[in-house]
Amino acid sequence: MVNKILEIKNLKASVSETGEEILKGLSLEIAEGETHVIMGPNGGGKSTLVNVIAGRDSYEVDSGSIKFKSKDLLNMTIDERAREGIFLAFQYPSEIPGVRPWQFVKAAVDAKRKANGDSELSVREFSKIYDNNLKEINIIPDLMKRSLNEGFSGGEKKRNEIFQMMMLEPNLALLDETDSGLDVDALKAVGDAVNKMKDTKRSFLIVTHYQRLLDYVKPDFVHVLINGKIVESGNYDLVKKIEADGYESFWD
Amino acid sequence: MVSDNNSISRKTKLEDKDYKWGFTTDVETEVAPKGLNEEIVKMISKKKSEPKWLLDWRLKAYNHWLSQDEKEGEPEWAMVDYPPIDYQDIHYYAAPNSSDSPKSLDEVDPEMLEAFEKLGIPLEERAQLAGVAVDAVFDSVSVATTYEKQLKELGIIFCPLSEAIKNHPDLVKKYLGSVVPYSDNYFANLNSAVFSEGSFIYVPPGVRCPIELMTYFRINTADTGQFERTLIVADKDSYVSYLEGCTAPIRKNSQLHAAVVELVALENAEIKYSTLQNWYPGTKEGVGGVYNFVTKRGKCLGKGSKISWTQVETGSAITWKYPSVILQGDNSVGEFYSVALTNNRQQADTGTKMIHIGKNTRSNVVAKGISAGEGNNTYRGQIKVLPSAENAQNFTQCDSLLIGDKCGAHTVPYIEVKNPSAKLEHEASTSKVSDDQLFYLMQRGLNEEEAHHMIITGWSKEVFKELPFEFAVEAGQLLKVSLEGAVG
Amino acid sequence: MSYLDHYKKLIEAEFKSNKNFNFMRAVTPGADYFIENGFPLKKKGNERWKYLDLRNVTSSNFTKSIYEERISNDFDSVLEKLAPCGINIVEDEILIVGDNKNHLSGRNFVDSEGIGASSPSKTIIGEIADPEEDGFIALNAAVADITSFSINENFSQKALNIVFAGQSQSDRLSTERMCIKIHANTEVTINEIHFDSDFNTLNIPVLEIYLDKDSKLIHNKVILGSEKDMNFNFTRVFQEEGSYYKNTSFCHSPSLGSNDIKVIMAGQGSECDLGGIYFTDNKTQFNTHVTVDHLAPNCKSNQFYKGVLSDESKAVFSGKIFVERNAQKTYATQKDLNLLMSKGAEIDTKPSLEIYADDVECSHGATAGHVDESSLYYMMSRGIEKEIATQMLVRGFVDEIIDSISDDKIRKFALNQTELILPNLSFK
Repeated sequence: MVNKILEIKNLKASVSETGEEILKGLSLEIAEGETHVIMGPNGGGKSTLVNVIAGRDSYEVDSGSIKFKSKDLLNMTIDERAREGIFLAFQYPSEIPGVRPWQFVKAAVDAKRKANGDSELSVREFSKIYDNNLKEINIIPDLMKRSLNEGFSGGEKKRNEIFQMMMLEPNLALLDETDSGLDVDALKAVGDAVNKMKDTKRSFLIVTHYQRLLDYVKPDFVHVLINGKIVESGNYDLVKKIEADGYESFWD
Repeated sequence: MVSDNNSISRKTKLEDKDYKWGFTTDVETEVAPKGLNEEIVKMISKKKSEPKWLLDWRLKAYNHWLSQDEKEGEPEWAMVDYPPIDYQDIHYYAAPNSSDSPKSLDEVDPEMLEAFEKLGIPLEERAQLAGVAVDAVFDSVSVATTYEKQLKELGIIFCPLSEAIKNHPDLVKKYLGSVVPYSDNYFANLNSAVFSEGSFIYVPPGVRCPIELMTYFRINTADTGQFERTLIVADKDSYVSYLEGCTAPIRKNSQLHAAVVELVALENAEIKYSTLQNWYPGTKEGVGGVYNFVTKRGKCLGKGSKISWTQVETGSAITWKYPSVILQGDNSVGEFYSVALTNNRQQADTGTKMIHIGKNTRSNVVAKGISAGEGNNTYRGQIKVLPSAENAQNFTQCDSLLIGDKCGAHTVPYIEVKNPSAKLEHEASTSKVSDDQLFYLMQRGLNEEEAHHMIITGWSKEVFKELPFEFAVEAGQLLKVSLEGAVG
Repeated sequence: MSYLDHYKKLIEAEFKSNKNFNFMRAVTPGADYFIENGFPLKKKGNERWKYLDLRNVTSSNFTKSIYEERISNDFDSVLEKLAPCGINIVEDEILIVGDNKNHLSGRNFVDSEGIGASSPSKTIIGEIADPEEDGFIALNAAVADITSFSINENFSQKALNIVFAGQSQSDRLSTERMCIKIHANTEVTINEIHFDSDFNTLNIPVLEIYLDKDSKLIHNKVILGSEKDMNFNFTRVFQEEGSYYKNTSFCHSPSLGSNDIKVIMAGQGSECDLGGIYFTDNKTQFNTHVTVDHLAPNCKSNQFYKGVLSDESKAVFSGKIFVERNAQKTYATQKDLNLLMSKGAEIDTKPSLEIYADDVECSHGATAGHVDESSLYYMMSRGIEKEIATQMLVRGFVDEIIDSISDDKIRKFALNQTELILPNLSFK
């Protein structure tokens, strides 16, 4: 029996500021080691879903539940969820002036280790992993001497997100349109990194518009999210159908 | 305990009170009666065995202050609010270890002790910092002596101002009041009349001072006096870097602190002046705390000279302070880098003045204000380009961060240009810590306070990088401690 | 204080005539304030006027102008001045401001469709422009000539043109007060035009504007000055929920004067765009004072001003963004860019922020300098004379503001005026 890592039941969520309902009773289960893809038209709620899982407070959860590793996720703060093993690769990563990527990633890794009762990594130990991963995802080390994400191109920002994922080794990685704005090389690098990280325990939830990334990363399940609900689920064939016919056939 | 081998502290010579105060032992118990009048001014001058010209200067200052006090009183334009100061209720002359100092650590504000703990200040230093009246001898004295020898060989003079008045009267007479005249402003006038002590530095031509000079090195002695006066002169082609302050919260017995700092840079000389100010800000409810009304000004007298101010201001109940540069020599450069933080009920009205007189003069201003709690933080800056200042250039950037909805952040720049070849740019922004940035950091596992701290330290980096390295690290830590409780 | 005695008499005389009955609540405090404080000549604590030498306002004992003097009995001279704007009597709604009468190019002004005589005074008038804010406003309040009206959605003209004819006699004081209410859901353009005068005159016009919910006012202001006249021009605006106010000013400096605008954003979700260009030349001194008070959440304001200064003139910009504690989600910007064209010219600019709410995004910027040297070099290397090249660059600089004037006639007029001003600027 495979363990469920994420269980979402009848989730309703709205924009805090306006009260506009975005997710209208969404349910989804992801088991350890599985890769799920969510596709759907703009405004359907894809980004909202991953942000609600990560705990962003510009969204209000009105009803329903989210369990992560059998724990109630909705009671946890953003950082608790992160330390618990949820990683969100942002669609638009923030630029943070004056903060060096190295300093930032070290703080994040240490925070997680501390929460797990592990000791902080020494600078030497950390640097070794850090440098290896940079090489792996092919980020020019000079870039990482700048402030976090400042002056990074769109593609560089996305690579940096995947790099952080490699550093933090999450249990569940949420990839929010990581493929958009990437050239072929970057797309391949992201795909390779994800494939390399896949194992029997780690799960992925990939939000995307296109088939492109899915040429590299083969999903176990594909869901179509329209108007706040998952209207159809299936396997990779569903991607082909969408690519050919669009979303029209899924509307009620 | 002297971890910084490049530093020297003259004020660590605690055991040598004669040296420090310039006269003998009965000082221990001596306090002038409250109030200010000509007799008090004369008494201060006499106690310090000053020459007549200095007494005359003090008296002129006193009379000017008096007439100003009658005419218009204290300056009112700053955005600070405090109960009226009774200038007749202050001791203008007091012995260093005055009787209201705490007798032991038990009498010290527990919050202050907690702050020492957080800043990692060694146990043996805490009592000193808190102003507990104890005699102490520090390891650093021997280190200080070593450096004094080195400075002497280079011809650098670094001594208390009162000593300089005795031993280098020509230098003092030439430059004292040459940048901040006795009639400059209300608080500076008061200082000129009654200043008690301060530092004097002279760097001879062509000499590059090899060490960072500091007044306080971790240890503040007993109250240096409310009316410090510092004078630094860098002769042709010389360089000196001076540090003032300390990350530890400094207890001041007196509430009013009206200091004057004058810097003079001759041809191609450079002076770098850094301050960490963390004086007692009062309680969270706004009771007590230091009123820091300070006049700091440098004059780039010679061609190609440079004066750079860097300040990290986290203390005091009220800060009224505008370190300025008069750019008189052609091609001279003035810089101002500042982080000012107000939390709880603190108020700060601080900024700079850059007065462009010479040709091709340049100035650069980076001011960061952080307002938290119920604090009010004002940047007030003046950039003035006189008709003679061909091709003057200034760039000013001032940014404010608001933390919480009970604080205030204000920006009041004055840009006055009388020469068409000048080029000036001023940019400013005010916002809170971005939700997006916070979410991003917290999604990586940092808690709210850590995330805030990382963002704020990063945001302040442009200023911190101007500080000597050890100071920069401490400054970051200081911000963290000062902001505690403001977030979340 | 002899000038004060003079104005005291003037104020007493106005009181006796008692014509401003509806306006009494502003008259008395205005009179009291002015008699107590006079013009804002004091140095200490006088942030608004600190850079200007205002002594000239006491140079003469100015007396109130009378209508006949001003308009010289017919509208022809005024209409003639308006012709270059393309504003004419046939197709445009014109209000020519005179002495205590409201003239609308031969028709009775308040009969015009969409304009009501119903005085808006019951709600706000006399209170939007606080008589105790400033000596000039106080004097205006004390001896004001009032025109008050409201505009509703039936107003179908493209624009209402309010014309202040330059005075035709020396030592005259004009204290026009316009109180205008824009009804809810009404959209209107008002063009306010001040012509210059060759006489030593003191003009202190004050416009009070109340924008009701979801109304929209495009306010274009033209101030033309001469080396003789003084014009201290005040606009005070009060915005209710969801309203929009746009003010674009085109100013050619009078000998001494100001364009002083204050917008009170009292209703949620309101927006304002304030912008303008000021030309100063000869020995004129001109103050642009712009304040936006954000009192309600979710409001947006922009200030964007440019100045071109030549000869020995002096321009002052003091802008302020004030954000009250509960005015969360405020977005406000402020920009003042200046070109100094000659030695002897002076700019004093003070863009300030005073912010008490934390969830805000406010920014400001200011620059002062000469035209871009490399652009100048580039143009000259193509054979263009320096003087012409400089003019072209200044044109480019001011165009950004002029282009934002949405009323075609006023935009064209501003362009024509610019063409007239530019060749006379000294570039030394």
